[in-house]
Amino acid sequence: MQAKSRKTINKFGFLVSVIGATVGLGGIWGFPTQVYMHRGAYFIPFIISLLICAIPVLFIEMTIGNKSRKNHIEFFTEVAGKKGAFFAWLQSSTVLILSTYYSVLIGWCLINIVISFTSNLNTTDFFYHQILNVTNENPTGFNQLGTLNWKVLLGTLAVWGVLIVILLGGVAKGIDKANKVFIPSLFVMILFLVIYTSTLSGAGKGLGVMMEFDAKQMLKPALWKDAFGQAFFMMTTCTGTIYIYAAHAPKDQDNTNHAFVVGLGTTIVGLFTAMIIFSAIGNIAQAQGKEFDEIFGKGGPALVFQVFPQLFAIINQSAPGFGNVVSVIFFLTLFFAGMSSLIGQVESMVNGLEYEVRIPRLAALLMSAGFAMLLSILFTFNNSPALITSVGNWVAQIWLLVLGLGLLIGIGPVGWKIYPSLKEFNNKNSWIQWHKPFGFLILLVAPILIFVNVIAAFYEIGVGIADNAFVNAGFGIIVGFLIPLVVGTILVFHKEIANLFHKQRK
Amino acid sequence: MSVGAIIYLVILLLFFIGGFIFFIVMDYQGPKQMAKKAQKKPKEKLKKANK
Repeated sequence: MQAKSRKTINKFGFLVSVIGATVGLGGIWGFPTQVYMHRGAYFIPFIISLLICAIPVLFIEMTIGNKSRKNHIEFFTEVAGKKGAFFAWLQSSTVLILSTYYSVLIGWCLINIVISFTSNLNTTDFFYHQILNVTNENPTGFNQLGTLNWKVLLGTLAVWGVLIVILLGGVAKGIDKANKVFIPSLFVMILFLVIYTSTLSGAGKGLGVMMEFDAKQMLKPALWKDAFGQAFFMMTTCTGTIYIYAAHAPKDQDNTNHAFVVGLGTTIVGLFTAMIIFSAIGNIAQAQGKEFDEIFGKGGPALVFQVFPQLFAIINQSAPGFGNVVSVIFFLTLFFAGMSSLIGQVESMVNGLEYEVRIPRLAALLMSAGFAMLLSILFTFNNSPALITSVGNWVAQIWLLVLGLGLLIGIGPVGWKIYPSLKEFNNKNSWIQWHKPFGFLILLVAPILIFVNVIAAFYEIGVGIADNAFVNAGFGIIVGFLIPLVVGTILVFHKEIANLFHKQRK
Repeated sequence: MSVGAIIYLVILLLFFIGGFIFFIVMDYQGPKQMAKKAQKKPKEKLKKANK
């Protein structure tokens, strides 16, 4: 069947769309949260995983999408039949699960925007205790999730509403226009905050804690699997999103160079956000006369949302009201950056349903967003932050790595046919030529590194099961592992399933 | 903040910001270099053929 024609976005539109998807909450939320957990030792494994694995996978995906002008599902089905289709649908279903808790985090942004208009900005940890109202950080069953948090639920539902409106405009119209305004604003806002926080008293101590380097940490599997998972998660690789954007980009663009721009640009935003957070915590610790680690303990998924409101309250102390203004602008830009990521995630499934299953766009959108929205309600209970970490571990640290491994090994066997044509396409358009050592790197070294980290991730989850079987095994396996597998399988065999129903009716 | 921590942070910032600026510049310079190379290649082939 002839694929529907796709509208083309220009080079700038492509770059901001991809950076929007990568920087979203992956750069601003995920990266600083991990730096808080591992401190200075985190940067070395992260750089290795970024340069050797995540960026190469990113430019391979860009090159495939840009050359073929197809989404991941159309492409892999064409080159590898049912096996390829299974691999591609698995990417879409995995990222759809990711969107279920991502939408909740963006809902937290909306709540913070509302708070910014009130006089509730203060230097206590009110977001965690009064808004999220967490009463049990380690629930061991559904009965310990607490009550449904109406503020979080309303924020989450509003996010899904906005997403449906934007996606109805299609990739070229909706995402392109929104990102051209919000991504540059986000860069400016982060730059302003990093300069401001570095001048606060206690900031130096905070930054000192951030850069603490403990060589023993480098031997811990948890550090490496976190860094590898985060690099893949942040680059939005193995989710199908990149193929879709690249299929809309100009065909003679330099994909390899663009991948480096996206990878390094996103990491700069993540690094700056980490600096802002550590400087602010250093300031809060000094003001309260406490040690650094006494302020937020071990951290967690809500860390960024706990620190920033307190930072804006600190700004209010020297310039009353200005903190509220900065808070509105910051959370608004974070909201749109998060929306960019969420749009990419849901578009991965919608685009597949629209172009491959041939479902009308509106129906595809309502099916995908409706399914993810219903699941997202699980993350809107008072004690749900623990579930976010659990599903995040399965999605980012296992599924994305396994899918990355599948891509790199896959372009081996499938791809002794594909790789030379990708190489030729790249070498025609990019100043960075894919020579023999590059092939050795991405077809051998990177898969081995990713495989070792998948093992480390399983080992860590095994350790976590002993700690809390409900969060790490029961809930994590069902929502983070089985649902993507089942949804992916159903979509691969959608034609056979439809035929079966058709025969039964007859 | 210790001297070691400052040096570590500065190296990280230089690496990421420097790398980002480099690839942004190459996004515009790269196609020009490619065009120059493409012009040189036929000339070199001609020289070899003449030899």
